[in-house]
Amino acid sequence: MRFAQIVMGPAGTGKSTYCGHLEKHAQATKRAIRIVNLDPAAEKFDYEPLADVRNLIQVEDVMEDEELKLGPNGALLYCMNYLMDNLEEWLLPEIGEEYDGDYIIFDCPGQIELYTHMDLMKRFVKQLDQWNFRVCGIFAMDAHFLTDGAKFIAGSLVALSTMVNLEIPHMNILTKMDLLGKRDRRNIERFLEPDAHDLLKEEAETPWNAKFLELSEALGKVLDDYSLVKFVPLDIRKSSNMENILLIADMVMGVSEDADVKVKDFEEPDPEEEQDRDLDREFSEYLGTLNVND
Amino acid sequence: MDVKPDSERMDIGDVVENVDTAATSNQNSQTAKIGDSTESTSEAGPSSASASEEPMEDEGDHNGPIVMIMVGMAASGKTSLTQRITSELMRKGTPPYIINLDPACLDPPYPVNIDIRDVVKYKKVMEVYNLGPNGAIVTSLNLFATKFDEVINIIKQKRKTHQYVLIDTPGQIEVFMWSASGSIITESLAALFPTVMIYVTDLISNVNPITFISNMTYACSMLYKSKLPLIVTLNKCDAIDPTFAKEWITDFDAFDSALQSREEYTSNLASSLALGLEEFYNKIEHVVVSAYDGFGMDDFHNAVQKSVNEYETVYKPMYQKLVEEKKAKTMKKQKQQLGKLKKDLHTSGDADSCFVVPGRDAGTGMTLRLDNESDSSTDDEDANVKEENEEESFSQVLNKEATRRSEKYTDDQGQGASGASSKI
Ligand SMILES: Nc1nc2c(ncn2[C@@H]2O[C@H](COP(=O)(O)OP(=O)(O)OP(=O)(O)O)[C@@H](O)[C@H]2O)c(=O)[nH]1
Ligand SMILES: Nc1nc2c(ncn2[C@@H]2O[C@H](COP(=O)(O)OP(=O)(O)OP(=O)(O)O)[C@@H](O)[C@H]2O)c(=O)[nH]1
Ligand SMILES: [Mg+2]
Ligand SMILES: [Mg+2]
Repeated sequence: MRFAQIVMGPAGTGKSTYCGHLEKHAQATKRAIRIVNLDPAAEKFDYEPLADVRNLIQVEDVMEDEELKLGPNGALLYCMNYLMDNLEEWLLPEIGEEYDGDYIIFDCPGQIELYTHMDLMKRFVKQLDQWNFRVCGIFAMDAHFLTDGAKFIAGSLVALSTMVNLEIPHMNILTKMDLLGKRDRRNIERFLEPDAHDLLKEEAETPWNAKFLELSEALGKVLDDYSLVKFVPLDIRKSSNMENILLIADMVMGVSEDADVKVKDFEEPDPEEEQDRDLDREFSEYLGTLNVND
Repeated sequence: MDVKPDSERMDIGDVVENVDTAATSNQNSQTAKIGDSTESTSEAGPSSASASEEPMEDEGDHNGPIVMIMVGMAASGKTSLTQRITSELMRKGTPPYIINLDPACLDPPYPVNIDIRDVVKYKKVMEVYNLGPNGAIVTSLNLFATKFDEVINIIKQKRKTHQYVLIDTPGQIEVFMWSASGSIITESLAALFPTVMIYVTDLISNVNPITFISNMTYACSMLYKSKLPLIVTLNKCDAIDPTFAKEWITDFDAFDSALQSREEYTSNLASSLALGLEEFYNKIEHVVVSAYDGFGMDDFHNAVQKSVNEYETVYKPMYQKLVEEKKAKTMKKQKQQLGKLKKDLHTSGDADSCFVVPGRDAGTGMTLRLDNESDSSTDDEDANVKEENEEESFSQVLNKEATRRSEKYTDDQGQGASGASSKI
């Protein structure tokens, strides 16, 4: 059995940064986690990729092609198509044979169309499945844009619009937490609670909220039913955050059934605010909703 | 990096609070413009002041032009639809004011009034910031956002002559919906003008029920993100019978049975989402159109009208409440956001070199520079006068290009049988 995280999310949210820090964290904790860059338009990242799609094809080259005449979007799609046609020939040899504890992170491009309109990523997920991978989707969102309940719903919906195509279990991570002020951070913490239902409860009664009250409730229910963990904070300075994400991913993929590492609290200085959620139970319930058959 | 210490300080700090420094703009040689020098050096001031302070005065004055922001996934038909709406509006004798926000597009098939490509050099952004194609779109939009208060001023001026403003956005929907610059642009428009989000989606790809539900989920996320009236515009009905989509929107069972017939999808997330979105379909305007043959444009215009009413009753009160309650706080936050954006742009590259340089590319007076924000004026009367000057000067910059394009457009119009088919 091999394990993989597919890291997705809008442009510039910190997918590659997450991968870079994960690599360091893995080295420090002696876990064999390797990163593969699948973004043909990647500019820079600070990890040592196990494989880099840019060795196969580059967006710039495609854009400059006189015959193709493609803009940035078309060129990216072209590249991804090319990649998907070369999974067996190129990617498989690059990532090598399966071994014990095999764990690969795929750093993906941000374009949402890749997931919603093309079956490209679906093909990729299927291929991974055939290669004996268990997969967890990581959807990265910039915490700056999730400052109130409505925006949290918006963010969750963006993630779901992607995940409905891929049909893999996923978690949303909130990036750039380190850049937020204390107050914003406290605000966001409120939304990390398990009940999406209540996301809009605390908001003022505006005509807008009234108009969409029923919709918000209906959506809250869907979100509650389909996400194991709606949002996990990521402050890249804290290894506990990284550990937390890894742990949840482990559970999602069933890396080790008897995970004995405890979920660390996200605000380290607040030991009394213990996270007493029964993640194991939630996880099995979650799997039930996904029809995942082990 | 040759960031002037002075401008750097202004960028980080409270640009706009420095209200008495109008005269200091002379320190920056870059402010030099063609035309009357005293007049032009003070132009940059009121623009920044207006972005943060004037909205108070504009409160209640929402009868500006109707702003339609065209958003959608790549190749959904935003540009074609902008063109179609334009020709419809022209036919009705109310030509729209058009703003293109796609820095990487080819020449658009409609007469652009303000074009991000006249302000920011996309290729140069790639070079200066060492960015790939996507990063460069994000950064170009950021650079443009730092100047958006000037655009707002122009739109204000257009109140008298234009009933509509059309805004075409980049193909990468995420770049507009989930970026600081996208928020700044949307929010500053919505704060002053009746603003409607047009979510363009392509019927052809929506025949797959999963793509359909994915699109609708995304549209719904836009509603929550922007809290603006939203029109789901199902485009390209000339190419495919749109009955299926209409059914799926009105009848959950119809959708669900289409879904069940797709064996490759096993999870029931899609049908749960569809159930959850029933209420969305009920509350949101949706129209079937074709940018090609103009089908559905009357429906579209009705939907816009309804949405404008909704803006007045649902959005506007929300905004006004916001203004009352957190006046200072919100403004400060926006200002901070903008300040941060500018700072980032300066520290990570020579931002100035990415703007079209006066006398070289545009050949006209140019106020669009990051470091001109420092000078401001509190004198309202003065500000108004200057605002007009400002508008003139900004237009001058864009005029040449705009004229060139509109001439080109007229040519195209003349050649093609219809506006819609000439370029597509
Ligand atoms: N302080 C801080 N900065 C971050 C964090 N995540 C990302 N950044 C910064 O945000 C910018 C974009 O980060 P990337 O990791 O390249 O984002 P990405 O999602 O891979 O971007 P694309 O691949 O272009 O879609 C970089 O300048 C990062 O340094 C974070 O958690 N904290
Ligand atoms: N059949 C048909 N094709 C259309 C219609 N509208 C647009 N298209 C085609 O769809 C493609 C994309 O159209 P654009 O208008 O460039 O779409 P866009 O959303 O602006 O694209 P980007 O800016 O690249 O994201 C083009 O090939 C158009 O010819 C329509 O109403 N019917
Ligand atoms: Mg990246
Ligand atoms: Mg376009």
